[in-house]
Amino acid sequence: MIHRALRHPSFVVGLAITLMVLLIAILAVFWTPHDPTAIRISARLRPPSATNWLGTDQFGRDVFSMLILGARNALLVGIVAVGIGLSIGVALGMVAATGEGSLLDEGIMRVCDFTFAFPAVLTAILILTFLGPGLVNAIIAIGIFNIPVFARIARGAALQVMARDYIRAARAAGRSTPGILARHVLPNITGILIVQASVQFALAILAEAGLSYLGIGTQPPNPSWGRMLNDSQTFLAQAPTLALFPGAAIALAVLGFNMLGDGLRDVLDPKSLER
Amino acid sequence: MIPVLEARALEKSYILPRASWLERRARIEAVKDVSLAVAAGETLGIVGESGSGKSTVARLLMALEKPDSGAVLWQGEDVTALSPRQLRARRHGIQMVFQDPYGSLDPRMRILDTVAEPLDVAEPDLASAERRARVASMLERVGLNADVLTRYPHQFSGGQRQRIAIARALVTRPRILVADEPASALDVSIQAQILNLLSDLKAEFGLAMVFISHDLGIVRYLSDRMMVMQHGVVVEEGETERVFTAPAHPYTRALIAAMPKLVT
Amino acid sequence: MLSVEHLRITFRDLPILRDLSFSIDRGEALGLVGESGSGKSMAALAIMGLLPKGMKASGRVMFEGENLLALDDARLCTYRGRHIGMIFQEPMTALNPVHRIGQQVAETLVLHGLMNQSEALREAERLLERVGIDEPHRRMHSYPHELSGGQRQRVMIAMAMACKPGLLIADEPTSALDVTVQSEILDLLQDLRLQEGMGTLFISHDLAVIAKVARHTLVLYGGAAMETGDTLALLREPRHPYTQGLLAALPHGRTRGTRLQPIPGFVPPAHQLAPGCPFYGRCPRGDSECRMRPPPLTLAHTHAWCFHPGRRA
Repeated sequence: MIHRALRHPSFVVGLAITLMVLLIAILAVFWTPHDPTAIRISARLRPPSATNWLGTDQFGRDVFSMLILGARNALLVGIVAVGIGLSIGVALGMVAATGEGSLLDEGIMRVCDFTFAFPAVLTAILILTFLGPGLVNAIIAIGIFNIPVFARIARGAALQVMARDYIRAARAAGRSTPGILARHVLPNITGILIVQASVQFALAILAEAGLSYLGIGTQPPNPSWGRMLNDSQTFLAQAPTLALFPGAAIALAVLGFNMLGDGLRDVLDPKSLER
Repeated sequence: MIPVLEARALEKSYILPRASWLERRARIEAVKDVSLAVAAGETLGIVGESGSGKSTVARLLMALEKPDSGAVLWQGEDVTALSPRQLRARRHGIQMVFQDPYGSLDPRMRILDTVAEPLDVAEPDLASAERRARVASMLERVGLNADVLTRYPHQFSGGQRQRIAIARALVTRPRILVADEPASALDVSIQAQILNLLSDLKAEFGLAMVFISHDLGIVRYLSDRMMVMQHGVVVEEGETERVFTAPAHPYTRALIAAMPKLVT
Repeated sequence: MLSVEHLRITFRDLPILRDLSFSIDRGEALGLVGESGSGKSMAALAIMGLLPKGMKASGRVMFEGENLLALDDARLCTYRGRHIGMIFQEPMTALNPVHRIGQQVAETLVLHGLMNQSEALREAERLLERVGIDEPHRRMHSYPHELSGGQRQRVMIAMAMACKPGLLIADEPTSALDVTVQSEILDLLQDLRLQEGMGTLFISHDLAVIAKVARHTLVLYGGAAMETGDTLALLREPRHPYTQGLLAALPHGRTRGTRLQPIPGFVPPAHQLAPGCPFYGRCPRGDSECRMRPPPLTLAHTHAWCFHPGRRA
């Protein structure tokens, strides 16, 4: 399996990008070229130079230092929020699918519909007014918003799988419903879940950006890619690179996860075995 | 002789999804008052067209669905009253082969684990070497080498997949086999291999077999007795040759007349 | 009327169909028999110019003096549906689910400029009646999903027949249907063929179905012709070992207790077929010559492409 994975181009590139982002995030915990929180009004909005590799922002802070420190937040938001949504959502979706048409199924799906009816950011704001602002609470809020997305997809995919004869065969073999879900249904819906997870990962980073912009996500002076991007809007005319770098960072991380997800889906599919 | 498999007055109806909120839910009676009994070493053929209820009968016999009324007896025991746990503990005695060899094997599972599945439930404490050996010997019995164990379903042709499905059905040495159109999706030249294999295995294991098919020629070849179903009801039942040579019910006569024949 | 000469189909240098020739006269039916992978459906698609991307056809498909393989797509469109009708195995996927069936039948007529809309609708109603749809006036307004499988196949036939084509290609038209319905549809096709004088290419995996509808039969295996001839002669006394094997593998009549005689092995994938006779490897009479060289055509009461034709040993 590992051997197969290492020959899959998109998996390898995706893994390389993701690992790089991860390493940078770890590195930033111990070392940054400048103190990312140090404000120097005299050196505000500088273009990239030898001392400030990616220039400085409107407070004269070093953009490169903020960016690599922000990587940690971005990964945390993406991975944990998607993880919350994935684990709870998939469990709910599969439970709903096993009781298709039952009250439980109806209940779960109507609650999902209800959450869908609210705009994502509005839901998150609502949750945050209860939990209070901050990165951890923002992650939880985004995670909760992800639950119905995965519940819906998992239910649909599970229903398709459960109509197949091999599920009947497993029941005839005497396997219990939880056993069937774990052994047959889950492995057969992972592909579709992985692809959705990489999409949600990108959305989670952007959602965090929105929340930070509103002041209820990552709290200053902790840097966040999303807030950097949002803050740069005001200075777009004077310092266009200010928007470029956090934007590129988000795009790169998202690209890495998408490629990793695509590759993982193929690698996990036995059909990609030797032809 | 006590029948190994018995069904008494089975009834099953389904509620159709309603077409609009205003309409009442329609029910369709899939199976009405079906009774049957199969002895060890005997094959009962069930013939019918689509919608005749023959596949519903198969699922009821397998206790994959509960009948609305009536009873299913495995080796004399009524299984409709059992708890799910008790039922699972008895499943190794009755197994099934499905029509579509592409849909009946989990594409994500190695052949070893697919064939071993009924064994894993029946004998969870089996040592892994013994488990592997039992699976390999059953695969060999159906005509496949042990080197298929670590491969995946998509690497096999339809006929080979059906052999794998038969190995899975027989690995726990059941007393009863329900085969729902097991050869219908296969090419003619492969179909005969599978039919021969089933009749050999039936003799070797002394199986009681229920063989469901729309193909009268195959049912005539394989069954000792046969039932003809139409709209959920058994319209005729009897010794296979008697039914073919002297069909009593008009529908049976129509079926036999409609059956395309080679040179007569 | 239709004459297929040395038709070959390749897919990335792999032969899908090797040198196939046959002809069909007006009012005549030819049965094309083969298992999956025999190339029988590809032959039909090649005649219609509908081969999947990547497949290349060579040879000639002469239809009323015109080589269809040499025509561009725009010219072919004037043949498809107009002069050559086609029906498929699964009418549910071949009919458009969002249009009423009367409209769908009429559409072909309007499309080929034979009638205006209101004439076409009247003609569609007549056609539906002709193919045995009850209450055609009311049924015109039905959607495909409101019909049974047999009725849908009747609608497909009405569509294929609408322009009175010279040739009808039927690809497994009854394989998805119940036996009683199958026999009705076969009778209908037979009836229409005799009345309208269409040539029919009838494709099926089922020898017994072919026996009912086609005077002549061509047996395909692995993309190559095995045996052809008068259907009855071919079934009574086949000369090719593959045809013999196919017949021996079928349970017919009172055979309980006896053993069927399957053809050993399985159909190998196209790239593993012998360059000579594709049946080599599963054939009881195969030898090294069969493997290397394409077998010659031997003529007798049936024509067989085989080095060792004759009675079953």
